[in-house]
Amino acid sequence: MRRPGYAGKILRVDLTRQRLTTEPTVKYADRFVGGRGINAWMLFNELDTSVRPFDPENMLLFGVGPLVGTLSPFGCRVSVDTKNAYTSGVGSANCGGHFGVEMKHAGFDNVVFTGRAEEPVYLWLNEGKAELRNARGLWGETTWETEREIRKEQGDEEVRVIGIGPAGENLVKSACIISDRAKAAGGSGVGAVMGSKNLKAIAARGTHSIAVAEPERFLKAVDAARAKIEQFPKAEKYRKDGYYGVESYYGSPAWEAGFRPVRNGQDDYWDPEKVKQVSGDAMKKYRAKILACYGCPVGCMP
Amino acid sequence: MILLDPTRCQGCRLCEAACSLHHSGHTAFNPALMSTKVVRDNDTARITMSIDSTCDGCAGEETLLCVKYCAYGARSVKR
Repeated sequence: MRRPGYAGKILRVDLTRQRLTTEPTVKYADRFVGGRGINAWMLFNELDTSVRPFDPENMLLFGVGPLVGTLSPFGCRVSVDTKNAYTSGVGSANCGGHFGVEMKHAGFDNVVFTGRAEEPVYLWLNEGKAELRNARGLWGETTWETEREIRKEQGDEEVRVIGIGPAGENLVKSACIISDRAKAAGGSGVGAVMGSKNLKAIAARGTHSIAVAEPERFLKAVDAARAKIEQFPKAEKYRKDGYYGVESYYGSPAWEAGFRPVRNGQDDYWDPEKVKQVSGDAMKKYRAKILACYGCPVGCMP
Repeated sequence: MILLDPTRCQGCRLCEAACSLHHSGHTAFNPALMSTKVVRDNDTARITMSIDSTCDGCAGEETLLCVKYCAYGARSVKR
């Protein structure tokens, strides 16, 4: 049975044995909502506490929620959950882009990886089918090249790819999992965990439909959310100019309170003049276009 | 007639979702039922927008859904 809002299936991939199994999402969807909810419940129940982050027994879960791929604004996030590579506690990161939607259209709500592949592989999801493919030729390539190569291999320019670059392959703890060139799931060392499993990327494409249970109420809620977004004072500015790293924090209450993530947290203070050099008009001349994540009515990403 | 402006479009594809909602009779979001398409080329940052012959001008809806849900003003109606 399929539940409205969900694609219907959870895919389990045992990379060591190269075995793929599916189970219905309904089993979990009754109690927990969405990508991170179901991911966290699985981690809590299935992962032994003595497992270390880079052990093959560690789990790496990708999940999308019921709003992803619908008309709901911002319905694009992919939640990536695993054992935290820094702390061995719970680890979670998430990213936008178009991959989550395509994964749902391919027929999967969650993908659960366990084990470690002998050789580099990538997972190909297409129209309800899943397949592990050799990625020896992709190993060592950047995420941009990986996306390009997989699209060429599948002969489809609309295949969406999420994957790691050389940093993740070499178990750098701050490595990100990147989708759509610039959307990053960066926390908790998820990129390194993906690299430790010899998993280069996931690619998805499909046309499965996502059902709506109560369209009238859903559309009303969407309209209300959209009206609220229009009240956000910076919405129009973000749409037109985008924003760049520090700029979004500069002068904000968070900045005044001491949260100054300059140079990826390597510096803790910059002069306002110096901030200007890397934000706003100074950066705009290098930009070809803003490409928004799926379903985003603000489109901040340069 | 719907006018498309790819220079304003940022490729969020909400129009596609709205279109498939209309064609499925307000029951689902399905890429197979879309009359409009937005393709983004990540290499050149170029966006291609198109509407095919299955567009029925949102028959039965109050307004054109793809125009209503576009936040970037990339779609407008020409009478």
